[in-house]
Amino acid sequence: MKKKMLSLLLAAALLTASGCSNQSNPSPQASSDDAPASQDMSQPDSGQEAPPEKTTFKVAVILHPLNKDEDINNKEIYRLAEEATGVHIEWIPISSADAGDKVNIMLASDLPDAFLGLVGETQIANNMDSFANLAEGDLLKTYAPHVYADYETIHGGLDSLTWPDGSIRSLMTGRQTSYENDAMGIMYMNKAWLDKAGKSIPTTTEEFLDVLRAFRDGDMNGNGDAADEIPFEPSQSDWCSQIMNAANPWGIAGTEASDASAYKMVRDGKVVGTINTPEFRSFLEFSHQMIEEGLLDMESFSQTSEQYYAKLKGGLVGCYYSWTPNSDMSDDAAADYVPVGPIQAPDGPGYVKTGAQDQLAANLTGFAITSQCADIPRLLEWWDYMSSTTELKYISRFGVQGGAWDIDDNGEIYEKIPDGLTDDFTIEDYKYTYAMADYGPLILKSENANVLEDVAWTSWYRIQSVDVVHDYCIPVENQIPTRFVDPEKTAERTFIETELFSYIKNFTATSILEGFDDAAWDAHLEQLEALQYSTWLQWYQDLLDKKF
Amino acid sequence: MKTYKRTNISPAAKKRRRFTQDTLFDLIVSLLLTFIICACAYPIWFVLVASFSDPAYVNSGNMLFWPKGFTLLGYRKVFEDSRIWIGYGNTLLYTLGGTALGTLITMMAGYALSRKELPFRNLLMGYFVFTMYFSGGLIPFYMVIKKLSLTNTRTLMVIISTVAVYNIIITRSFLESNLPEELRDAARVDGCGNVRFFAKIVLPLSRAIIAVLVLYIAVAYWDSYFNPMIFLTDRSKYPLAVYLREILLTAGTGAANSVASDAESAQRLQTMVQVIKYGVIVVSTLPIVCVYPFLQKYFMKGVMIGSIKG
Repeated sequence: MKKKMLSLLLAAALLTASGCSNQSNPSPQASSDDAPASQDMSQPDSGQEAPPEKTTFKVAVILHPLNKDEDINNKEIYRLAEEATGVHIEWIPISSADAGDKVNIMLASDLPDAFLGLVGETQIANNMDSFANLAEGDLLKTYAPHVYADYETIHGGLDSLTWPDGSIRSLMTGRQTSYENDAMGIMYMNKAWLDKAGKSIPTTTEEFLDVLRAFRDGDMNGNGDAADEIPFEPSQSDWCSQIMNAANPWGIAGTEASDASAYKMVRDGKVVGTINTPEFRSFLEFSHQMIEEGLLDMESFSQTSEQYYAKLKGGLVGCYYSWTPNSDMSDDAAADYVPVGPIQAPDGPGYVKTGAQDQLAANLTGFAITSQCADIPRLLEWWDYMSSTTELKYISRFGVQGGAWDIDDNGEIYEKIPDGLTDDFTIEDYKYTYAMADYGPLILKSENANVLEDVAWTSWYRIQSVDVVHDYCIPVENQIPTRFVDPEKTAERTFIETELFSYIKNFTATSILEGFDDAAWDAHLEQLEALQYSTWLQWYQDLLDKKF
Repeated sequence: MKTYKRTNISPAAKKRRRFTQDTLFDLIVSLLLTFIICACAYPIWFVLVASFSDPAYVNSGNMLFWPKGFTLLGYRKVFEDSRIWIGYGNTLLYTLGGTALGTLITMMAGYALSRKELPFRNLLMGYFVFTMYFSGGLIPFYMVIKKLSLTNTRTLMVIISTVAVYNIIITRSFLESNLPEELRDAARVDGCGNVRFFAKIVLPLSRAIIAVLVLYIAVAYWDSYFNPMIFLTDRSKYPLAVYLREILLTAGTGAANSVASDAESAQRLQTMVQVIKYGVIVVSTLPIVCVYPFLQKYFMKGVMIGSIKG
């Protein structure tokens, strides 16, 4: 009797399990039930007014931590897009903290129809077949004519998206250029302290030292403790305050904010090394002098981000790198800081600012349709709809018109502060809650919104700060173009970088903190060769020369 | 051992010397233990105190033992955040369900494997132990779960960590050493079957090991973030640990991801996280910390058995 019962139970369990698995299997199909019908839709602008056939796609999307509404379909742009194209998106939100693990699992075993804001170049390179080739059969040109036209207007736009095998596996998101971003971290100096010390903004490294000494010696913040001031505060823990920024007066600068970006530069079409030059040596000696005189914070190389911001908020810092001081401290305290222009070192090639003029700011792998998608034309049409007008692009970026953006009498778009913001719900929360910010279709340089002082002061002030140094940022002709390369070539480069970068960072920090002599410098040059520094530079030269 | 040489020492002096030696030994041990207690307890105390302090003081290193710039802002933000409460509810469900099921299954498995008359007993044990050294890996595991239609379900979250081979081993060892064969024989003579013997005799006699299992399994469920993160897509089913991880990683990952295009939002995130970080840690760990003292006496006994016989 017992045995019978057991076998009955087992049979029931098996049936249930098989029943369940049958339900789950057709997910790729379910996401594109209407595939045949939608093929009819594949002739754009056919002039038919019939309502578009409904279809559903599964799209994995990045869930930004500032987004307060986790139902992505509540965003105005997706409501409009669904109305116009009949495409309903079943979103799979993935928080940025989980993205790494989760996306890799998806790529290995459970592909959605597309990824929005989640995959990077390496993930596409390593899983090339998992992504649809939009160049095949002119898919992109046919079904996303607006997107295609936008890319054609950018110099090298389509090239930058094309893989060495001629395929296009992703579409751009964000802005083509971002003037605010061009200058990366800008040096700000406490003007109130400068006035108190009777100094003006330095323009040479000697004047810079003088100012820092004055900051060190006086009780600048007036708290009765003359020793708590930190004259100069770079920080390796902060994205835009790393130590190589301080090498700008010696003509050493990267196109990005990271230290590694400044290890090479392009001059007259040649990729040249920076950290094996006399200028770099002078910079290290100057920085070590600052350490010895107590002008540069010794904790710069070891402190955490929290410690760094605590110092800024505590009113202890005379000079540092930032986006704008308002993002680091109270508005009252930030008002004391002013941007610092070029600072020239003696006998150097001249000041160059970290950052790049008119740098392509778009995310090249922002939107990627996978090979799992059964109706690529339809999904392309959905994306193309959102790219079809500047207004729609801004609804995608900032939400409804009249909120965080509007159009002036001249027909130009400008940013504004929406109603209903609070201390707990700032403009940044607004953009990510009601729109997609940088995860929407590409906005061309010509479509960039105006930023007015009285409506978006912080952005306006950032632009004013960038104006001070923009001319010194690396010009377009000295930038290495952005494009995808063969994964094997990338692997060659990253293999060298692991040890090389670690060594350079270590050498820079030790030399600044402890000083160095001729023998140490010679050993450094030898070590660079041993770690294939010149091979690494040659790799970029070949990229520049389009050898791969 | 030759002790006659000491006979010239008077008993009083001997007593005094022993007293001095013992006292010194006790003193050193006490000091050492006090130091270890401090080293273990201070981080917990720091988190607690930091949760009531202004983040500016905490980050600048000015807060060491007592709250500075006392504030309840962190807790206010935590309690306002609906995600935390949803996460709390889910964690409770998964922990209670998983612990009940896990304890029952582990006890049953441990009991069966402790019975000498179980056919292929050692083979089964070897089969279990094998999985401690070799596993299929994450991707095959994911595919199995997906084929079973269990991804993104609360059922999966309850059953996924119910059985740990380590727990089965300590249970088996406990039952082998604490349940004499004679007890089973006596029960059988009285007409008691396996199920009844397990329910009426084994379970009541195994309180120590049950306490250990409950604690192990409950803590594993309470802290579990990886499986929910991988297998859940519906955020309303997320347990507290996943939200906690998100909040803690936001400053690092979130900022790093977004700065290139959006430095202001990165800054906003950092401020938000600094305020609520310690509050969230306290709120999420308090319940499980509270359970420890009540289970401690069983816990010690059970763990010792597991460690010696396992």
